[in-house]
Amino acid sequence: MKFDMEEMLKRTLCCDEEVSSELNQKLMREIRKEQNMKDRRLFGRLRTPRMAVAIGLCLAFCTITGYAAVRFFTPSEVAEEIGDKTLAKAFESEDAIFINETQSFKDFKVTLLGLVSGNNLQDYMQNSGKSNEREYELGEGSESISAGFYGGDVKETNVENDKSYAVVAVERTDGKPMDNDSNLVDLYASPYIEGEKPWEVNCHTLGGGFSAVIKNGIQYRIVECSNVEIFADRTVYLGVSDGNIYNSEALIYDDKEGTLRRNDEYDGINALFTLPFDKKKADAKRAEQVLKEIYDMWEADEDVNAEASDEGEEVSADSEALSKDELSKNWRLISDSVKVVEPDKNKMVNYSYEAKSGRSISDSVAMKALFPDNKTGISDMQNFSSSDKSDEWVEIYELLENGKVKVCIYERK
Amino acid sequence: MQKEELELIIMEYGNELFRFCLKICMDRYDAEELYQETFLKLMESKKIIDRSRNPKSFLFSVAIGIFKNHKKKYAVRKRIAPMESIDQTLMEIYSEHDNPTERDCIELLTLVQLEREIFRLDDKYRIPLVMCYTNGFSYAEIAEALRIPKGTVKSRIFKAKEILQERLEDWRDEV
Repeated sequence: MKFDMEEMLKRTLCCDEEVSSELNQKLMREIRKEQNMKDRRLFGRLRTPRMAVAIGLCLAFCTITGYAAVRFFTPSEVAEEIGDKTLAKAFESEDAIFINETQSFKDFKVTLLGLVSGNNLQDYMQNSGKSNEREYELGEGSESISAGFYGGDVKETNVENDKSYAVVAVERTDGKPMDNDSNLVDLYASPYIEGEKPWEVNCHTLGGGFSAVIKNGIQYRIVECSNVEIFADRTVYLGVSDGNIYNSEALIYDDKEGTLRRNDEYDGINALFTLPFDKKKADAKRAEQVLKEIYDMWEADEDVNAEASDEGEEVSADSEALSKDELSKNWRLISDSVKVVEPDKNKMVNYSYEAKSGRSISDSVAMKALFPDNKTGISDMQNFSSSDKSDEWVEIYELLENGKVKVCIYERK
Repeated sequence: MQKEELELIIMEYGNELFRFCLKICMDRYDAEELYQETFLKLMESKKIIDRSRNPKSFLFSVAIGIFKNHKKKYAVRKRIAPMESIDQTLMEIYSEHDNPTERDCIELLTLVQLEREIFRLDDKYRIPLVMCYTNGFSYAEIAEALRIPKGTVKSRIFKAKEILQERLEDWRDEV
């Protein structure tokens, strides 16, 4: 009896194995090393004949124009662009994870390029409570650069400098460059942890921030927060969505399963990546400590709100709730700050505003805290903020008949 | 070739090439080495891959060239790690499958033997066979990568199947 060779060959030779990301990372390191050596060799060559230089320049130009539209900077190069050599080096290390996964949307494409976690990987460590401004040296050819820090809600601990960094690239699908500065800030890239509510545990509460730069029409964004590799025994996501806070319309959290998924019907950016951490790097003890700090902070907020509503006191420790009269007398409405917001599925009012001066506010407040009796009208809870004493803002929330919330900002006259 | 161009090639064809390396080397360590060497060789290459043509064929032709040049190295490794006996293979089958029937065992043993026989084939038969069944290359693509006429590819694959059929029948008679 003859063998069915065709069928047997298919069964024996068919293979769906994929190359491991570790092997590709190792390969990329080798390639970078080779490229550096090659560059040095070329650089060291003196007195190149003019014709050769002309041909070389022509080839180089052709290569750059041919590939600029589709090739990304490496995470290390992005770090160098924002002037952070330590971080650039960290992205070259064996601990760095090279990913290059792209998700496409109607107008934009988002690519997660890579990530790295560890201690003291940055030139300028962020210190909670200190200035959030960082001085950048703009790389040659960079069109714009910006950064934002979310205030470091995680308390100062011995893990302060133990951080995770991810690099994402955002580009337009129509091929037009991301040349508008506002493109840099209207995105929220944040890690989320399986089993933890994304509006509670996110880049804000993990003491995170971002640095963004536009190069060749592509926006590169380095997202940083306290080390999330310690959660590696669960699914750790990186979400990129419109807005300045967790966007519950774009990314949907399943409370029962503790999982996060993209809303396929969402008309905007809602990328969601799973971070390929090594499960062995999970640290349940530290993870518990970090979560405890975050939940303690949330509880403290709730206590303040509850006390305020019980005793009729102001929410802000150093500011009194303003009456309508007082508002009209001493405060001026910032007209373009007025927004009518619909509370999301989790009964949170999400509001963000950026003034022309660059100053911005981004808040997510529970309806329960704003309107404990569900009465229409202006909430007693007013959020005061100031960059200095002469520059005070107050956020006013008003519950409308249709259940929506009108949010506006007043500045001191 | 620039590293940016290579990154694109890795993203697009890395998995395809790795599968080929695995099947052609029959050893993970060798496969990983061949995979890396192929891209490093491309890096050194002064050629720019014409993406409008068939970059996959070019990539595979580089891998095949390296494999042939370093064949001795791979063959030595294979001698150091001798092939398993039938008893060992059977033990593996029992450990990987719940209560396999006699028929299952014969079928799986035959497939293992076929894999060994493929490995024993001359490269001129083995390489086009792997490209065809592992990577789904057409005869024209194999011809382009190996720089031989399409008719030769067809006849080599046919011949390879004939040899394998014959050897498997001999093996069955012996067992």
